[in-house]
Amino acid sequence: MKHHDRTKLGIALLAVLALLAAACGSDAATPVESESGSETTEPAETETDGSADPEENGLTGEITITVYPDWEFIELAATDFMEANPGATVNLEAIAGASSDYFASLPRIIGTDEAPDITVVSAGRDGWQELIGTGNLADVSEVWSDLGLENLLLDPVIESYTQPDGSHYAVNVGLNWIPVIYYNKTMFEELGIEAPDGGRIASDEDWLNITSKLADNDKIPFALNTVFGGRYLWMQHATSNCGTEWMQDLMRANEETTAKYVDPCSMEAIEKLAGWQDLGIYGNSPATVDRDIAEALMFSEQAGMYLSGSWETGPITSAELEFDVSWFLLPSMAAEPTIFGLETYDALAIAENSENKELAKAFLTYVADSPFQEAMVEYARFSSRTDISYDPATIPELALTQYEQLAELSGPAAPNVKISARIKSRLNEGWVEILAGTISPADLMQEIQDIYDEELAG
Amino acid sequence: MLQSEQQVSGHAKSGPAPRRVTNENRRRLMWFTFVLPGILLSGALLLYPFLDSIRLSFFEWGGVGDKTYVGTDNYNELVRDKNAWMAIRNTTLFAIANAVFTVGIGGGFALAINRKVHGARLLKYLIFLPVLLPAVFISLVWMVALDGNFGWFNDILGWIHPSLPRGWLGEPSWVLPSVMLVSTLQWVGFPMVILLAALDDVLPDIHEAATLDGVNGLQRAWHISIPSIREVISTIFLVQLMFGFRVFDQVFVMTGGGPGRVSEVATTFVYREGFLNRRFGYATSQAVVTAVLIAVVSMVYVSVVRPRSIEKA
Repeated sequence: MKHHDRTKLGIALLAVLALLAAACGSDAATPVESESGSETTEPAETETDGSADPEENGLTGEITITVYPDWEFIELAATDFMEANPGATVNLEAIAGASSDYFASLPRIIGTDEAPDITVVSAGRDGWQELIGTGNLADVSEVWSDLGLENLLLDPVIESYTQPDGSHYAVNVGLNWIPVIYYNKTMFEELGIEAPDGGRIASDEDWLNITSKLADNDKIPFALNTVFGGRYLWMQHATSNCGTEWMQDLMRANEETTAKYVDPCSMEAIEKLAGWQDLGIYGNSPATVDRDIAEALMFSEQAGMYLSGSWETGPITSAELEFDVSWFLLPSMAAEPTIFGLETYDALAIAENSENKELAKAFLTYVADSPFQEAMVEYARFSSRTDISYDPATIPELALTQYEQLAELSGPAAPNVKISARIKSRLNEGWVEILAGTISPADLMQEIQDIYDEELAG
Repeated sequence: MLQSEQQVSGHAKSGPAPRRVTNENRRRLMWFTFVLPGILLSGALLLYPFLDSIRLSFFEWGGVGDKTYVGTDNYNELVRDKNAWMAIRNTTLFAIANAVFTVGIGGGFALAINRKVHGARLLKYLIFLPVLLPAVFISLVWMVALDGNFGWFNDILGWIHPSLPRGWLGEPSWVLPSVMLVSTLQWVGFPMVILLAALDDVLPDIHEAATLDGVNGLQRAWHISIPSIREVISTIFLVQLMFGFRVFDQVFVMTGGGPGRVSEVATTFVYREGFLNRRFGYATSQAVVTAVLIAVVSMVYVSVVRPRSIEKA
């Protein structure tokens, strides 16, 4: 072999070895995207083995739980559970990729060997009944009856989680509310912008003053994520302009429903939000701002405000930002004040083919029981149980200020929004199309109304 | 005497005629034996899934449970679905652009590098390097670079002139060209190396003779090099066209088919309808239509252009 041939071969082999070394490389955390949290690293797998005789120290076995990557409170649950049951091992796995993809594939994988023992689910939302219909979720009514949850949970949770035959297939793990506008309080102070430290902006004029001052200082006034931001803003404003009863009527989506997406009050809401685009409130390229980008713009102080939910207080606190963050609600429209929408769909469910169903049920019982439901507030995670009280000192301040005003700023908790997958998807897509200028708000609402009518008829 | 000689001479011995195993039959049998595993593999991995997809396109299925026969409903809906038409249009545009630009620019690079100037070899490696990298990786890098809010591409354009920055991936009129640009930058090296190899086969005597006749470099390229490798150009153009029809990674990573569904292509449409909306029957109907489109385009291309290398094959 000639010298230069050997050289080439050597270089090629080195390249292959380098690639192999990289492929077999470290467990570097992988940023993932989730529906109820920001982009964070995967939690480390948590497992211990019991050192004492497992038979003497409670439950035994091993279970795997798949949850959102920013559900740090579940790590606390796993650690505490394993301490109480040294023979038990609880492995945590994070959803890889977009949670929408995970939930879309869940009906297919939940019955396979690849399914975790326990999985996060969106109980009561689109796809929930289909998931139950696969027969691959375990009945957890026993957990409900052991804890007496039917007498302890918020009524909408009971309604959303209870099947017509009285059975239950999931356990709620927290109460969320959305939309919350988080803002850079330090930036606002430096720029001389007045804004409520919690609470509601008084008027549209105040809102426009805030956004114009930010824009004048080359900041993106409002980083609105295109994943769900537009949809939740419309729901909040339509509720404010049309009334809570109107929205509840619309979401009921049955033959008695009289509310329509194309009602003038609904159209006014979407037109108002779309009009902010022309004022530059969403920045220069709003159609590409997904959740991660919105958060990145906020955390890097390129944006003054961004929209998320109550769960965001955890990532904000963990990020240890160099500036202070506060929050407010947007100004109201005609009919009622703008409010938080309460959501109770974060839940855990057990796979029917789990090899350690009893251990899984015991874990769910532990998570749903009052001691843990109180403890998880340390992670800004609030319970949907009505018998839980909190020590304010244990709640992160950003979450505490919201919680203290929750009763005043939220509407009646409604059953988990039964908006169909098609309408939800079209609303999300359509909002981006409005930002991109390829559809008018009126045309979008008409399309959605057509989908709504089609689904109602068929 | 050999058996065959006996038959010819007509002096065969008595008894039944012996079976004739010719060399030809033996060769056919051997050929079939070697080809059979490939046929079985292709059948199992290509033909069967394709035929099953066609069958599935006549059903409604959510990915689990029973399938419901719906006849041609999926195709009827496809005809009325403007997003499906948008996806096919975008796919066709992308495929043509991919072929034209990668072959055109790659060919230009090949002609330049073929002149054996100083640094040509390094240039060849650098242009080919992106071909080796995963499409997802390249797409992610450019997605960040082209971001309208913080991408460095806009920063550079802003220094040149304030009116130049755009929402490259957020504006409907720019999103598809932006994705095409990224695809071209990644894949231009592939036609380049193919055409470079073809140019190496062109006899240098022809170029010398032309040079002596006073023909300059550009004229030699246009009148000698390109006609000499016409067949290779035709073939690689068809290959790049087919690659373009199959685009998925760049669109999925960079835009997800957005904003809205402006940059949707056939593959992302199939993915969305199948895996996100859980309508596998409808998704496969689009896949079948796209496959038919690709087949028709290929046949038309082969008929019109008739690359001899394909004909020989």
